[in-house]
Amino acid sequence: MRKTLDFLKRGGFLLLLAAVLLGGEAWMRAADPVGHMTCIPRSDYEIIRRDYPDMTFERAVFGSSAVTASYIAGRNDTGYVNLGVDYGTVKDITEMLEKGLVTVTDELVLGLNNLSFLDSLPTNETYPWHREWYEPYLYFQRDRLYALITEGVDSVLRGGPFLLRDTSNQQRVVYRGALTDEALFESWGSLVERFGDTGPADCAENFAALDRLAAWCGEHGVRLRAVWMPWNGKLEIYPAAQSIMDAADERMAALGIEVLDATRVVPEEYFFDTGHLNYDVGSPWFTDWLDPWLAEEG
Amino acid sequence: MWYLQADTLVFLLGAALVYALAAAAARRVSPQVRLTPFLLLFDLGVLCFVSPALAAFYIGYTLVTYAFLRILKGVKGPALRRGLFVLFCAACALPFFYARFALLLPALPAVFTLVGFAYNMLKAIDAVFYVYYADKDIPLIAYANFLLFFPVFTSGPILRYRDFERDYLSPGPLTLQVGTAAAKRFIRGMFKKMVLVALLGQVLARLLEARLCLPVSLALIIVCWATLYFDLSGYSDIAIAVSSLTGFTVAENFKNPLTAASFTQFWRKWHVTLSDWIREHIFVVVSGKRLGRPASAAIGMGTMLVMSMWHGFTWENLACGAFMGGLLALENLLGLTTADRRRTPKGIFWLRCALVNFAFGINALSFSMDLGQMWDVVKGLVRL
Repeated sequence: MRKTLDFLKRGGFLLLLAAVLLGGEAWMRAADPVGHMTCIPRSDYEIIRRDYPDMTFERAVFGSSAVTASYIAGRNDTGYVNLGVDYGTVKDITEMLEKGLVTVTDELVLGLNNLSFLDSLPTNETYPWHREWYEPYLYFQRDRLYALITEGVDSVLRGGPFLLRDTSNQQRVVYRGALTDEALFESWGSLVERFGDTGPADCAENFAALDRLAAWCGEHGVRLRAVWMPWNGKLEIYPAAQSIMDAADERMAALGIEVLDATRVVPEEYFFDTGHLNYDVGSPWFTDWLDPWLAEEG
Repeated sequence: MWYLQADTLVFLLGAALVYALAAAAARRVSPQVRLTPFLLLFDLGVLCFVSPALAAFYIGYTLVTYAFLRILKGVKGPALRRGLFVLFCAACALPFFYARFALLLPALPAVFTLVGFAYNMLKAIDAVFYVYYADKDIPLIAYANFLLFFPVFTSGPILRYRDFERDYLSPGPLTLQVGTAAAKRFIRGMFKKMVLVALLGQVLARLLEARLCLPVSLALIIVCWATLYFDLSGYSDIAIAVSSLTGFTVAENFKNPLTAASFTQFWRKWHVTLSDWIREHIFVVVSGKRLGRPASAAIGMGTMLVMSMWHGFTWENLACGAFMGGLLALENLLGLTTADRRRTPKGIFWLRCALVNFAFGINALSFSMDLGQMWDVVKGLVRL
């Protein structure tokens, strides 16, 4: 007894520290307090999780912001949920499924463009599937917490409130209206400048993820299909993009994934920019066009 | 700085803990057993984890500089020995000078990855000094451990072989007290680096937006002093904490510099291992140990210039080295190098401390801004 007390006395700090670190980490990993804060901008994943807390879906369309902004879930009676997340790639949905962050039980449709396969595409670093096993929760969330504190302190120093925003009703971004031709070509030029030199060799991780995704869907009895998302008819599909799409088509054919090409089906006037539709007119049009295909029995 | 990267930090802490537990277990079996030679495996593991090219470079550097030590130990004639001593010291520093003049020189293969080299070169030179002056052999494994000791690899504190050897042959035991002290110090260091330095960065940014006048310039000098202090001493805290887990006592780098009432005292309290290294390895050796005021002043100036240029071959560093060196030289010439805290009136003592740290604060501006901005801040001191 005396020995135990002595040990506790001498090692009390270390024990307490270990308990706080391990216990706190376990609690934060389970509860994700930062992801639930309403004073921090939420990621698209967190918005979906807020709206569908169990994150289990019978049918889902996954993709990037092109999917988020172009497919209106619930408009028709297909039962598909829009799982579009900013910068969503094939690797992202694969990791989400593998790590149990989302569950799809019946049908999964990938809404694709060339960027969906690009390994070097920027991403939202706070998506939970990006966290490595060795990264403590607070470390992983450091940028958002740092911004919360510094912006809050700045605001207080200027006589404002500490909490600057309420994101409890934040929605994923959609696009309304249309860019002028000048702005459209400028935005497209910037895309070509950034991604015009890419090719299938820059997609190795995403192609490998596609293989894993097909395997995962096969194991779990999920029907996997894909659709090439609309591309503004005013703009050329630049060669680098086409080469990636061709390589992906080959790969999907080999994996037996049914693919629908919607790149040139939406009239130009329904676009906001290169690949985002005008949510007021383009997205309803596209949803009505796509839903019959989504509803087809496998 | 490796301790700020999550994956490398996990590896470093993991390596230190695994080694510490293994050493503690071995000590239980037999108090005579020491595992310090095996630390080399952890050193190389960390280097390989960070970059195989870095590991390859340092293995090569270790072997080449060890060959210098062997040759120096074997040579008999005093003149040849002295010549080789100087030559080997210079050769140890060659990659450092290459890095500083890289833009003017042909590119080297990618294997020349010089992370932490500014510090490790000083350790290699120290080993040359040790062999030359102590005329003792250094075993290869001990030397490699010394040079590649992972807790202090990237940014010091700078080890000296004679200190390292003491712990290498007789490492301290890992006790609950040691573990507790290490944990507390590690947390303190991390807090300085991750929280205080980051927040001070915000304050600095806000101050730089303001019109420069006396209070703003004073605040900038204080913030720059504090940023540099928390940054460097935070790193030292972390490195010392991790080292203590492996049974090594690493020298303190910061000893309450705010209580320095002269520049001479200041440099015995600020980045101590660097200023000590330069004084002991360059100027004391060159000049002998009994110095008059002019010689001390010249050494002070030289030390500051060398130390500044060690940070980087830039005009900012040259100007700051001349500024700090000039003050140190003046202090030596006027015989103001020491101030006994008990004999000096309290007010005078603290005024001197404030002036010394204020002058260093001006020097610290150079770590956050260019010469032009520094000059603007100084001009702001005479504007209300």
